[in-house]
Amino acid sequence: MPEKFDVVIVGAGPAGVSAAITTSKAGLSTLVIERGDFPGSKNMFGGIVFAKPTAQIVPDFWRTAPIERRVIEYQYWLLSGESHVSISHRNQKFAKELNSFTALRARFDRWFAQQAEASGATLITKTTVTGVLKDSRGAVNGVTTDRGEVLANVVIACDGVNSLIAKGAGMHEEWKPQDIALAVKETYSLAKEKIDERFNLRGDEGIAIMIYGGREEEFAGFIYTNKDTISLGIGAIMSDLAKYKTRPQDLLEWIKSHPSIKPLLEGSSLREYSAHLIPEGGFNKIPPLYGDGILVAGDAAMLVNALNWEGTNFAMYSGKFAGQTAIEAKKNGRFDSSQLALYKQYLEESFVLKDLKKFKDVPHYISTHRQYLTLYPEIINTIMYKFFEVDGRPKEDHIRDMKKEIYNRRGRIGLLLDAYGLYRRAT
Amino acid sequence: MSDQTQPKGAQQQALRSASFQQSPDSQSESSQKISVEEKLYLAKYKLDERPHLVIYDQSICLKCEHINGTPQPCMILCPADVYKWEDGKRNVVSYDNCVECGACRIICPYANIEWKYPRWGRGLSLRYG
Repeated sequence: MPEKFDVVIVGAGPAGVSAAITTSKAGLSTLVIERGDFPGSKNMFGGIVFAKPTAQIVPDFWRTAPIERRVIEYQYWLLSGESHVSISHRNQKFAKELNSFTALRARFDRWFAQQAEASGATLITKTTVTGVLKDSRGAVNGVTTDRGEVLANVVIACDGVNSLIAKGAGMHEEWKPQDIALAVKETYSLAKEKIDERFNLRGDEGIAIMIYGGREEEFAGFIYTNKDTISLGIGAIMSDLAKYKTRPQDLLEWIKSHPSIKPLLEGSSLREYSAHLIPEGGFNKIPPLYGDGILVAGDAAMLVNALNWEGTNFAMYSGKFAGQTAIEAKKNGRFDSSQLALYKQYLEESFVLKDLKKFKDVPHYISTHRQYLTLYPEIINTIMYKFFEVDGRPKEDHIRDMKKEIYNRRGRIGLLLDAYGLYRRAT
Repeated sequence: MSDQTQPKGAQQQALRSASFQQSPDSQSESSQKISVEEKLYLAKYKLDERPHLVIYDQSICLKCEHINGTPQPCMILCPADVYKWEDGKRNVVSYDNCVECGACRIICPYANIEWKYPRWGRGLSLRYG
């Protein structure tokens, strides 16, 4: 007979580890199965981690967690050919009361998984889960791996965006290319003092830059400062890359060569190149979250708010709720889908599904109304250029030029519709 | 079975020193010229001798080429240049380049790629992530 646990968790990412900490603290026998060399070795993100959700799982985490820098400044950039317009917010409150921090997954997830082990969970690495086991009634009661089988009362699939476990269990079909972004990222090393100087930072202060516009493809770029490295990446919706025949690596080369970005990397050395998918379908594309003997959390359940750049915290919260659901199920001695439906209720009562529901139409709306990410960044750049340009002509002429730029390119009615359309869906 | 880091050989070391040990001034210029292949040499990688990516049916790739032209969707999207169209008739899969993202599987219009994770902790191992 294979060994049996109360809970078997697939994947030691933020969702899986949060679930494991929750269940093992409550005394449930918990096994986490990770396919990588060590937790984090297969994981990649932008990225920043939000502090409050992390503290929900590990109080006082900042004392021991491998935090890169505390983010004290957030910037949004709108790119055009050789310019950008930015809006930024720097606030010392973010330094005093930690809001988010930059991190590197290979280091952070490794530490995070150690917290689960400290709570009593068993972690095995270098083991790939290949599918689920089902009993005679079709309820999930364990997993198959490349090293053998393990039985469980509840399997929590936290296997990431590819979601092979839930797909293999027949819970949902393959994702659609229009709902998934493909991101490529490079990590550059640069001396800490250089990073501090270049981005106007002191001590462990950090900065997060989010970048849009300047391309036909719907994309989002990012720059994050770590201790002595810089993370730079770009993601685009997969169906867009296919439509425009754009290779993701070319998109990355393009953003690196943009005159606003290129100087930020000067003198640095490339340390790592990686790629990852991001599930961006939003609320309308969330697959079934539970079944008989199984719960799905994090990226595997498409729990990402692409609009607000939130994924890790959704993974942590959904993992925690999945863990709490398993605890209740164990108390009641029932692991069928009507018992595990509690998981969805927890999610619905929290910001996870509230936020995703609130913005449910935004991903599709922006994808089908290309002007937001293509035309507007360009118009805004032209207007700002006119605003600052001094050329001996009266300001009146400049204002006329600016109006012309807007009206000719989008029209008054179009402008009003766009403003109203976005307002209605995003507020 | 050996569980050692797959050496990409002396060539890897040569590339690394040629491409990445530049003076600070020329670095940002040179970094743009680094190919994906060279970038992948930076990663720690252990080979699973059993390919984790397999084309189910090459004739479907040929059909895809007739419809979509080449490069086909898998070749455009793969961030690690795993897929190459050879002799105008074969999709050659360099699965040892794979960064395990899953894009090829989702973009293939014919679900013609058998996509698994490498076994026993093999494949890509990130140091930053």
